[in-house]
Amino acid sequence: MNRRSFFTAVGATAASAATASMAQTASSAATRAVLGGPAGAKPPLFQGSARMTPLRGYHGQDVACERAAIEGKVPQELRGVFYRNGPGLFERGAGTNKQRYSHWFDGDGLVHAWRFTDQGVSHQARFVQTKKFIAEQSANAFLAPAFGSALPAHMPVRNSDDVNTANTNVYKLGDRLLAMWEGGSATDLDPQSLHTRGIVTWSPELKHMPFSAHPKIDPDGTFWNFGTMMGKMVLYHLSPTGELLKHAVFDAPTGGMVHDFAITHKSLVFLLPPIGIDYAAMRKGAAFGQALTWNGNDSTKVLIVDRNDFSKRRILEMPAFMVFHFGNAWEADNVIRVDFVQSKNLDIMSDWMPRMMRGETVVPDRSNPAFVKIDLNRGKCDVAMRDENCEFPRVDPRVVGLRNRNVYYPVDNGDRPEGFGFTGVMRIDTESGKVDRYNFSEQVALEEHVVVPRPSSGREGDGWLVGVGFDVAAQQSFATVFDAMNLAAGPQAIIRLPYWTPVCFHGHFHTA
Amino acid sequence: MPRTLLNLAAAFTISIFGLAASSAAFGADLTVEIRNAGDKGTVMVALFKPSDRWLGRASMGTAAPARNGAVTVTFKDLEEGEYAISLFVDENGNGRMDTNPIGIPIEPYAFSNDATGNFGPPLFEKAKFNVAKENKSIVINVK
Ligand SMILES: [Fe+2]
Repeated sequence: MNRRSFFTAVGATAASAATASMAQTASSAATRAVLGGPAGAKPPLFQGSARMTPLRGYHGQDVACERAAIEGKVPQELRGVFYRNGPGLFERGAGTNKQRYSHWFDGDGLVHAWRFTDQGVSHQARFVQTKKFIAEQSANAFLAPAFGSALPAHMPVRNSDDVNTANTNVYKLGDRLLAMWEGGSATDLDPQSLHTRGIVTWSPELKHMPFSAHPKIDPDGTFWNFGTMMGKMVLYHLSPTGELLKHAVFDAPTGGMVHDFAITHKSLVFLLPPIGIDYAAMRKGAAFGQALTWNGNDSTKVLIVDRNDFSKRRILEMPAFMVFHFGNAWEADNVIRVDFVQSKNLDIMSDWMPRMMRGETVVPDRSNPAFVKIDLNRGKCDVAMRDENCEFPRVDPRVVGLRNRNVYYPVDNGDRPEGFGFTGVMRIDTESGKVDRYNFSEQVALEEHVVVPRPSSGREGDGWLVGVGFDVAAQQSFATVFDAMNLAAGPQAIIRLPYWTPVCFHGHFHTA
Repeated sequence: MPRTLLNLAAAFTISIFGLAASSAAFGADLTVEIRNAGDKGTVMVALFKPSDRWLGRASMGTAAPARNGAVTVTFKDLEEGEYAISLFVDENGNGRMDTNPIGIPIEPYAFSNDATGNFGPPLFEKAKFNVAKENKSIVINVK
């Protein structure tokens, strides 16, 4: 990979450097053509059904609800803040100048806080005031290149933080609430007000470095993360209060995109799918996300890094597969076990998501629970798959990096209704292979669910599974509370908002 | 194809330390007011002619301590013609424009006409301005 890739790493093309001053009208017309299909046809930018309402997005407004309606009973010990983050704005402009992003990943970060207190449950969501959001909000137009939408730059792009949407995950580290993206810095928010404080620089020389949205956190709060860009990989080791303890930068074993990883008590574990970048396509105007290629004849690389010494790295290989998200990893007797959700290739991101963003009813490729055994003595990897169609695996935060028994997922009951939103939650007991599961009706669209430990308990699974969903008939968003060891019993509480919110990707529950 | 930011960083270093000072007497003076340069380190200013390699070796260069408000530098006795300026703020005083490990500048920089690139420096054409017989003043805003 050459230096040129930086130009393109977050969706900007090198060619647009020369054309950034291109007349606004001309480029807007070009953009409309890209987003709106053939001239003359003019289909609406979004034609989604009632089920897909959350994909319409907001228009930059913040929302709040002081007391959500509770059905059932919120357990007395369940107290704290459930922070979530996701792309919340997809459209700008009016009339014929209206534009809609073509990719779900492009929307501006909207950070949510569900607060569980003795007075009940409140909800608040505020847009992250990134440089890009502030400029675009005042212009009522898209000005920055995006990950998956071919948009010309109408503002200076000096580094990836100029196009940072802070839209993927959120975690409270020390007194900072980190809104995380993949291609640039984390953004620091006030954990109370959700007011944006600015981008985080862990040390002066790491300014504007990529800081991915899937940190892994030891039970004691030690924080591990990585970033990839321009053929380089950076690793971060932070203290529970957010001081940089060590970092390393080295040549990435593989190119295009790395979304998530896993940790054991000894290692950082990466499964690097064979994703390349088609620079010719980018020169012709494709966005970064549109130029990612699936090199299925190459291997998926397994990168294992010593937690105590980032210079100790080992690479193994497996047949090609795609992975976005990991549940957990643990290590004993020189064998690492990793669980993740596997898909065949990039079609979910490259094909299904853009169609979903237009409101098309398309059932995505399946993605299944997968379990890899990495035998470090033999240098061999064995993978086992299951049938369930799911995503967003999570484990109890008390067992991250340690031997875990349970993995939790939102799951499809059968075919995903209209191709959008899960309808059930499940726990896989990885020792017995048994499934504990609850299916809602097809009138809900569920997101990621997270495990919240019961305070003062050290037992895996002792606590609750908490997540978010959308009630199609009521056109309202809600939160769920399950007994984490008995999902089949159904939710102990459903907490309803009087409004719907855009869909989130990820979040964390910080217990009081 | 525009130069990469890494080239840009290297170019600044060359520009400032590889100065080929030369001037015919009795030309115009160019006053450059630099705004928003902060109050850390030194503003390093490089002046290019069309015959120079843009962001390679500059014809002239100068430096001034960064101050809040405006920093002013002057180039004297310029012959008539086109020029363009690139500058950066050497906040840590190491004489280089620092980058992070993947080559992205982490010290402030700017160009004449407040020209901007897109993930890279602007072309000379976007940053150029004309100096005639009479003295001239321009303003460059950092960020
Ligand atoms: Fe993710």
